[in-house]
Amino acid sequence: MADLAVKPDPTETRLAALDMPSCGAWGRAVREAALARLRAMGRATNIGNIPAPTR
Amino acid sequence: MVPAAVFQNDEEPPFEGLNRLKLVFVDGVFDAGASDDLAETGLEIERLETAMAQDIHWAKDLYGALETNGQTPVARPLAALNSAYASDGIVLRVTAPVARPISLIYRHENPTSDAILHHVIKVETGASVTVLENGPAAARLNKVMEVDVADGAAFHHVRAQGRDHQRRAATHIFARLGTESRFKSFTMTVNGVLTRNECVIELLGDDAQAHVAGAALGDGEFHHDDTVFITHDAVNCESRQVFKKVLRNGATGVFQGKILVKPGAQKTDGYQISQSLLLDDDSNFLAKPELEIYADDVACSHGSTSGAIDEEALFYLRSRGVPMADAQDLLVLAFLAEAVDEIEDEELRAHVSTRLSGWLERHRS
Amino acid sequence: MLEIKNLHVKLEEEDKQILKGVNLTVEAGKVHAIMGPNGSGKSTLSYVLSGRDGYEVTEGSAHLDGEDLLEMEAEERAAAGLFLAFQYPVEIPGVGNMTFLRTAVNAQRKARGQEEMSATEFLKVVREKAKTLKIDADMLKRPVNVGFSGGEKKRNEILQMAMLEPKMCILDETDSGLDVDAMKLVSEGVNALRDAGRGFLVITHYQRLLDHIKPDVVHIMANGRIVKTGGPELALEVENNGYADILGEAV
Repeated sequence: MADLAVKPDPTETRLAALDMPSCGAWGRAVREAALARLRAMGRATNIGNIPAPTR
Repeated sequence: MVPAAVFQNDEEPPFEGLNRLKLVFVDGVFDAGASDDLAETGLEIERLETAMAQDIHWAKDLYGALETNGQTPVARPLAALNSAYASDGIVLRVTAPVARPISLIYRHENPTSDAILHHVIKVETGASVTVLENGPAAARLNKVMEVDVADGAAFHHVRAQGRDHQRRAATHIFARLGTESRFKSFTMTVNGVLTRNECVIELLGDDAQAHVAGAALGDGEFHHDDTVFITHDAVNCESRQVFKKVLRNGATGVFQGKILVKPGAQKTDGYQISQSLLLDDDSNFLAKPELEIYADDVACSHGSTSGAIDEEALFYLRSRGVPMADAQDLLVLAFLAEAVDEIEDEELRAHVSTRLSGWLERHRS
Repeated sequence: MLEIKNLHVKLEEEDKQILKGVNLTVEAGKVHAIMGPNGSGKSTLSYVLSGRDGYEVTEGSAHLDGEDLLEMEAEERAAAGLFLAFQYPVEIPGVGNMTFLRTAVNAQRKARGQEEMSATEFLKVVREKAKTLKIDADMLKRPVNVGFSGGEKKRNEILQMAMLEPKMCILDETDSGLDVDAMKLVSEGVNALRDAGRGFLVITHYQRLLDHIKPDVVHIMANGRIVKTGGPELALEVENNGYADILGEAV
């Protein structure tokens, strides 16, 4: 099966890399909220329910 | 880095020759020079970056909001990742019926590019718009589209995924539908080692309509996943999921589709069909059709099948002089027809059909 | 035109001999009828001639105007001028009847090195021919045979035959499932195609079709062989006395 290779770096490092300065108040808020959701999901190591191939 | 070769053939890009407003992204970055002028009657188009730089913006109520709603009951981490890290996208407000389609063209030029695109689309009451998407975008693409369709508004979406075979794409559409609104989305997928298209729709106003359809052709290393979750939370709404996949040489197709009918969502008309045509013994189709219904006056049906090409029909065509390969292509296109017919616009439907038959001709064994 | 010699055929999957030495020659301009009880091998003969999979020719030959049919693919046989009107025409959801007809006509033209028919020319011809068979515009638009009544399916077969203009037409139980009116319509369609350059092989269980499509020669087939050959009066004999008498006599 193809490798679903989009795996974020540990969240803390990426938080710093997040391009926040260009964001206004709302942009910053929604991005931070999304990041919080992502962290809550266990750092997105579980990529959801893609079924494993049968062989 | 997972490189994906930029593949070229002499085939014309999809939707060529159509009168449309072109917005071009190259490896996930908006290219103003290659795009048309953003001024268009009935539309306000902004780049995500520009919108986010403001302190106040209408997109605040949508960006990440529909995505958040779509995180329950099933978590969609790639979508959350997208909302956090999106690097570009468009923010579109439709205030009236728009005459020509908005065409998002995703070019892929750098073989190791990653792109995270996030579009926010708001179709205001009584307005309507058609959005086209095509191109591989990047070696790896993560895309989210959040669509708010207000009362009496209509959103049409036709997408052609393909070209660069090595590319990987994970896309999400999150949509919220108001009273008497209409949402129609069709996706054609040919090529691509990995594609996952998720579509999460909430029917929140009475008498709304949501149709999601897909036609996929996979040959060899090809993993294609359609994941759909439609929630009926209003009275007398209609939803249709029509997904067809043609698979061969070890290609894998996945369908996970759900219709959730909430308490009180009476007179729901839900339909779901997922079918695969397996052209050999090496290909797989994995299907998980689901219905979850908490209202007592609804009509929901679903079906899922896997089958081979109809030998009787093949012989019938050949006995009329149609050569084997042509007969097979004709039957493959016939199999896909129910999905393709979900495209309302005749011209767009013809564009998609031409792509499909072109692909079949180039992939004859 | 059609020359079948000592044709032996068995099922590919099992050791079952169906045809056991069929000899038959159909001349251009003639209508031959094959009658026989169920299971005598009539339909198998039509399938083997048209190139359907699942059969194995163990002995004998079949030629169309000197060309070896058994060496050809089904589509090549069609392009060479062979046509089979199916007993059970196949439904093909998703393929429009018109698209189907045009694809077939142009595929055969291409195979013969002729120019393809233009869309307008094709439309004109097909409408004209459909009209005589009482096939309306709606039936032409609908997917091939899907939702067609028995009579409509058979009329659609004859329309295909009229469009493809084959040299040799095989009609397999075309009368099955037809009421009197439909049988008349279908027969008229067939009779309109009769000419000096075209041969017909009409396979039927009953004599009634032969009231409408008058045969020149009638063969009786039983147990994988042609056991008796005669004129149109032979069909009447079957009608009056059944197969038992003839078969008893032939054995």
